[in-house]
Amino acid sequence: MLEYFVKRFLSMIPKLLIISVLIYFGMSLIPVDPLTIMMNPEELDGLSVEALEELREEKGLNDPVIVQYARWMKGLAQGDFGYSLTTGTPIKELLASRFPATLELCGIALTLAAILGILLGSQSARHKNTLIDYGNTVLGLIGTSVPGFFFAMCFIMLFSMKLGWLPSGGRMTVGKTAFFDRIEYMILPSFCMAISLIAYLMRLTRNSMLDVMNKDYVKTARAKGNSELSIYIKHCFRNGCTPVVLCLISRISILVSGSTIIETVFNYPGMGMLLVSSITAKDMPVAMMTMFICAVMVLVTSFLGDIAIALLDPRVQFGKEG
Amino acid sequence: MDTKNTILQIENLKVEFRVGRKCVHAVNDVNLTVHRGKTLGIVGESGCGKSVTAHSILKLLPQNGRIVNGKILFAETDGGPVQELQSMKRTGKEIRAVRGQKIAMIFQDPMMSLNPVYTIGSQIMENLKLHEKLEEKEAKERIIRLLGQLGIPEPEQRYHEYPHQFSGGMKQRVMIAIAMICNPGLLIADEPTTALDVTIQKQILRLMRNLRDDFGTSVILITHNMGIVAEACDEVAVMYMGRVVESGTVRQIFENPQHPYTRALLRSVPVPGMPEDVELQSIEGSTPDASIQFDHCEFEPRCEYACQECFKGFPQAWECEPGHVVRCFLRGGEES
Repeated sequence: MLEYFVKRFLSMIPKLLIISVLIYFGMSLIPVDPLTIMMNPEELDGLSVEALEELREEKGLNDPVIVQYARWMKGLAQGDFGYSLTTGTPIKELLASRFPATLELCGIALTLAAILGILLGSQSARHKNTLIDYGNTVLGLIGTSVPGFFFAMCFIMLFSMKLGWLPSGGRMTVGKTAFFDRIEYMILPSFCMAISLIAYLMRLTRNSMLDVMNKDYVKTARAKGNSELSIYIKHCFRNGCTPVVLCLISRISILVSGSTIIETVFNYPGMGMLLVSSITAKDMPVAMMTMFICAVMVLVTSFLGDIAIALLDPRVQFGKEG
Repeated sequence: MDTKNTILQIENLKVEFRVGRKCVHAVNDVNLTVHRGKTLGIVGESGCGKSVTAHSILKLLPQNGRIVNGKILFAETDGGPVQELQSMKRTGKEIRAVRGQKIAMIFQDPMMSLNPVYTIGSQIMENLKLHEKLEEKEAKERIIRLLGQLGIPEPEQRYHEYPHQFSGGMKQRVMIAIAMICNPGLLIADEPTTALDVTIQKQILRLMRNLRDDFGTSVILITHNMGIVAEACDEVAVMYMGRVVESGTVRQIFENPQHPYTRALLRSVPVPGMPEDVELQSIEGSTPDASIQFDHCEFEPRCEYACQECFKGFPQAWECEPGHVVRCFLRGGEES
């Protein structure tokens, strides 16, 4: 078991290197003086050409590419992500201010999606081909086929403008920063983010459960004298949840990357909006660093997915070895 | 019902399935008796209703199937109370107390019948815990002892392994262990050897015979293989299109088959020592669609002895010798 996890973990390293090389060369292609990315712009103010040249030598910008890459990686590991081109603030600070917002919003969205998706899906499976099931199917179809930003606009029109119950955007009111004061700002965006995931998880849960419910081992469980509820939980759900858990884990990366569209529609200052605004402002260092972090997060989630599958299904570790 | 010799008695059982708008009569007017400590074999081709009969005993029919008529009487002990299984609710407490404890069941495909995510030990434990209050340690010892008795090597170690680490024959032994752990009075084996290869089949059958002898468990063995019947059963019921066409002891059926269907079945199986140049005979025609309702003997279209009388209705059960019942108008007297 441990050997399998270590193997999976080590296999992440080459992937990480490839991503970092791509990002590094992307950064070197940006047609600006690398010094402006590497240093606080205030320090560069009013320096002569000679002084700049000296700084370049000092910062090692004339060294071979490999050496520079290694130095850049070392900086990354220590949290030195460089500086924004447009505002001159360290990227680290930018990320630090945006990351908690996204984590909060997407955390709520994921939890909501997991609970509602699994509940509705199981309900559909238990009451297969009844009105409940058909109703859920129709809702699910709408949820997966209508894009999230459309719901976002509808909700803003209804709940913010017509009814005035919830704010239409932003993260908090000035002066009110407690978590509970922020909740009203998160209801609409998190729900809009969750809708498509709810619909998808619901279909996945339903189909997976129906598949399991027809298996012979469920009949065995029934023949042992189990109650229907315990058959459902111990045998159907325990076996049917694997794809659902995997799907959920694969979406964990949005905890970091955020949703570009929903955050933009709701003017929510998270990672997704950071990415969008940095791209529109041609602030390439910020955009690339944000993407780098998202890419790393995707790697991490796929690793988590492998672990989860191995824990949920005893057949896996043996199947992949050798 | 005679509780001294009989553990299970099925009277005029009728089971229907709803398939869309159609109604399929899977089991019609079936009478069966399982004697204490004996093995009853139910034989017939696919779709003849043998599995449905077995499933209806434990009320394990699919949602669209229901028992519309008849009685299933079960007496666990001699002189004990007689339970009417057919009237119990499908998911109720009563039938759940019978399942796994008094009547256990094993299924055709051991590869699919064990839950892949639990260790085999915990799957046997599940059955034991549902019906008996035991200390964890004591229960585990009992399971390991049973696994050993059933011929699973290194049972202490195997207890903690998962189904995918077992071969097909070993999985079927585990299924038998699940079924036998509570010492049920009756074991229903629904084609327990069909998915196994022949050498393993032989081992499993021997195992089941030993169980009958050692634990005194009565067995219903469902199969489509006449060879297995000859080897493992005391009594046989031959089913065709949802009806028992002939029943009796193994000796009666094999030595003096009365129904044309039984005879045809026996002629289609090779017997060791039979002359090489004798061709095996198949039964002409194919099984009719199960949703067709007959107004006369179902076997008539394929029967080589069919006569005018066969169109007049269903033949009544006729006891040609003690314990040997046939449903055929010919009553053994061929027009020859």
